[in-house]
Amino acid sequence: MNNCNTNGIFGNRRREQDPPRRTGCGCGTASQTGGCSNRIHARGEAGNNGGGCGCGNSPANTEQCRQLMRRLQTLDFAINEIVLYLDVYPDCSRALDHFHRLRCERAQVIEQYEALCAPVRAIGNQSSERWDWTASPWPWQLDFVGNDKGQL
Amino acid sequence: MWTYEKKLQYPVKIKNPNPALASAIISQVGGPDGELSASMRYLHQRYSMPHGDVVGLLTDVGSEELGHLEMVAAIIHQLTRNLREEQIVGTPFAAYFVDHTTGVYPVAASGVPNDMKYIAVKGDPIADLNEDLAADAAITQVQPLSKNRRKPL
Repeated sequence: MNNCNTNGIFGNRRREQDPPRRTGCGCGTASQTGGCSNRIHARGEAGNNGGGCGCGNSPANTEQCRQLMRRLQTLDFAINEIVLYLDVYPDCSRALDHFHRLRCERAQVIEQYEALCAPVRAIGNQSSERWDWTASPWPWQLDFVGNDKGQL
Repeated sequence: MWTYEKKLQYPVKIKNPNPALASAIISQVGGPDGELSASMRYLHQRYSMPHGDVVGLLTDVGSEELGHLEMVAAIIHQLTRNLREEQIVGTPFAAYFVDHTTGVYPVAASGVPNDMKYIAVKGDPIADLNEDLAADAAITQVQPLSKNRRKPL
């Protein structure tokens, strides 16, 4: 049963709307779909860029990369908080459910971002022809895609 | 160990450089109650904690402080780009510029470089957690000052 000692910290609304969590999600490939209630879907076919992955060079990619990075930042912000909560209340099953929803979507978003935009981690350099890890803009630079709030 | 993720915890994009403001904000990088001190405080107090949940909390919070350090450093970097001479000479930023130009050096606003004297690690959970409370209270103390300040620095 639910061991949470806080009332509605995650909002009951989310529990009713979200589909039940499925196991086995989050370790798929870039083209994996379904399983997560993620709200951003790549328009292009993620993972189908070959060596031409553009680091946000084309305007179409830039907007999509910006949205994916914002979603990733939003998810990680929430994950950070739920991790701290679970450190203190490890028996809270609702918190653990929420953690797994976030974890599942994060795996998909980071996969899409690294396929279409730039590596987030060095190990995420997906191009087999270029070393994008050092070529793409750094987070403190003005042209880093995640720093442009745009229309969001 | 740690691995780097190429993103900020929250976006930083500053249109108008303001080196005088940077010379105040730099204390949040290298000052006594800055992010570097906070991170080192939590990450080095971990080892003598008796329970896994406290070790986990200090590990996760200490790591997050490194992310904060990067955000504040990004703010300093962007506040000090494309400077003209008159934005440096005769401003509070001048002394910093002499020593570090526009590099991001972990130093307090008073000019004292970051020092491990700012933190305490006693190997006693109660002593260390009390020090964490004191350090956190020191940060909230500064906030009313900045709230009342209407004019740009």
